[in-house]
Amino acid sequence: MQTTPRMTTLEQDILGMREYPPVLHELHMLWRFIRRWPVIPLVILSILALAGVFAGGLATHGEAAGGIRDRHFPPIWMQDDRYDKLRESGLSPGSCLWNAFKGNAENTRRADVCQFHILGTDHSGRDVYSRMLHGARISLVVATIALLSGFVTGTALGVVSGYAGGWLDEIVTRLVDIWQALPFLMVALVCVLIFGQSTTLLLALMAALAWNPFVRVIRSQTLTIKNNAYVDLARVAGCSTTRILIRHILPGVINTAVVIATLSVGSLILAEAALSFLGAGVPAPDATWGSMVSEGRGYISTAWWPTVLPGLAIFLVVLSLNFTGDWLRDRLDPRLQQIA
Amino acid sequence: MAKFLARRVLSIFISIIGATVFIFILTRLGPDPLTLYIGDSQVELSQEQIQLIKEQLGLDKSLPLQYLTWIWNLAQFDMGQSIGTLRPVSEIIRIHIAVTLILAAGAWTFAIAVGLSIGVLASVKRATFWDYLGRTFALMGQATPQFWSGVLAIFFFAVLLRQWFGIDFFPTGGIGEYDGFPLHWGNAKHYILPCIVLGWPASAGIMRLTRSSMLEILDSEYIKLARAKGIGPFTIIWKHGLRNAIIPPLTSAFVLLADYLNGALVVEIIFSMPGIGTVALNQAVYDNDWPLLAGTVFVFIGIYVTFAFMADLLYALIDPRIRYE
Repeated sequence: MQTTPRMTTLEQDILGMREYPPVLHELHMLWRFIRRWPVIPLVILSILALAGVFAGGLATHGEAAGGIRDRHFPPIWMQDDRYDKLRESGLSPGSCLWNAFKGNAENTRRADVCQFHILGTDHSGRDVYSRMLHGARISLVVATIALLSGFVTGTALGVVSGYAGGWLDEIVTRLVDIWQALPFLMVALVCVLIFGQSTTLLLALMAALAWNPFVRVIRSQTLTIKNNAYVDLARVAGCSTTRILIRHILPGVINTAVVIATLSVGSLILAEAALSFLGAGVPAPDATWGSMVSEGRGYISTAWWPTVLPGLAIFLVVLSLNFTGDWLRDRLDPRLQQIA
Repeated sequence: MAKFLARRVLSIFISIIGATVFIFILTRLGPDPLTLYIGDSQVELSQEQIQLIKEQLGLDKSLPLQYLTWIWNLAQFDMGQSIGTLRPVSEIIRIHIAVTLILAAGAWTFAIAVGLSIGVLASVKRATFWDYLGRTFALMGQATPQFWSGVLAIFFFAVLLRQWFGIDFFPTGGIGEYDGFPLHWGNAKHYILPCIVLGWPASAGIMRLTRSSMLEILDSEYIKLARAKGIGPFTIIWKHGLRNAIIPPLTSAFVLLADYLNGALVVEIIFSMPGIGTVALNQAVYDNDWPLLAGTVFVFIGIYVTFAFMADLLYALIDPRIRYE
């Protein structure tokens, strides 16, 4: 095929002007599909969602079960004397784990039903894989609740203050400024000391963190939208303020709000992990990814898996969320590119 | 410009007052400061003695009055006395803030140097291997939890390098020999890993901003004209391009610098550096030492507000439309 010399290979690819041999062609189409749609991030996120929802059924061990004699079992693919002994005595990892899953289904699982640990154990003999499943559940719940409350409060505040203007607008803007100036981690730690460590407090803190990014952007968008003629017409036609806000302003800003939500959920998960790392997250026996990293880091030179694997999980999840957020932004609201 | 300045300064004062009131109320919701002050002392104190201590600490006045006294003293650079250690708060902060400032400055320099250069590279070599590499770097930086990358950095550079290759260069933490001033060249290597760990996520943000604004500039008419005139690529990229594209990344970099002082908390703990974050956490928060806590938080707030103000000012100087908002 004749190609114009001025085109780059990328442009030729997009126009389908480059020819590939049969198998390579299919691979190339697959590659283009992966580049066009966020396939890999969505796969990772669905794994996270499944892991969080079915944590109870997928875990092979109790979340806090384990004794000091089981400490620092390596992941199942690594060499270890204790695994060798188990194999010599006739146990196989496959049947062992299968029994554990069956035990989950029949609700009869015992803590010592399986001596094999898919991702090893930490310094007090607790199964890293099972704890990571529970951590996934907590991350999921915290991020969802924080995001939903932040989404609703932030968008509502932004729309109302942008539309109303005047002293209400001034108060909201000042509140955002003040909250922005406070060092979040320290405020969170103070709150934990005063009210005691609890899941409710963590959720409240995360919700308090989540609303801020929405208000600014939504407010400035509302300011532009409210000058449109159709808003004035709606007012002339006798619409109530509530109706104007919900039917005429909200649809104009909701895309932006969704984009901000997907872009900020990654940083929410990071913040939750940082809080757990500092010991201000969900209380102790419950496992979160942040607290697993914090507990394991003292032993990293003898056992890397309790530290590296939960951190890797955070990394992959946040990476996928950011990637999906970018993709969504380019689709829904390309104007936001300067902001995030 | 004067009106704009006045508005900004006023809003800064409101921010500071709001934030300090918030912190003051929060610290007072906690356990009674008096129990901490008396602590585990075995001696039974009489009612008069307790009253005396209360008067000394100013705890006998009403809460609003206590706040006013505190902020009045603050205006005279007197932040009161730490309850736990009985030393002046300003002295504790002065000793420890140097570490945090060096850390933040180092991380900021790293973020700007790396972010700008990779951003320019990615925009000039758009849609090539270098572009994808740069964008991957950015996405990864924004997704890495600092407490994890810090632990990994210590593990790789301080532990494994020593075990495998016998390289004994990177320390596992701390700030080295302390002789009054925390940085002399022998100690500089203690700051390398923390600065990179702290600076990486922000370098990603700067890189993305640089890339998008560079792409916009490089597409513009006057760059085409410059190319048509036969000006070399070096001058076009660095002089005509970057000079105009640098505004958004630089202004956001000022706000980032303020964020660093908050993010430094985690990094200081991981690398066990005696910065202001460590002090705030170990002495102030865990002991509920409220004068120290209020002092450190005030310093954090003050630094944040100052840099946000400088970013605004810079933006207004560069882009006149902002002033007449």
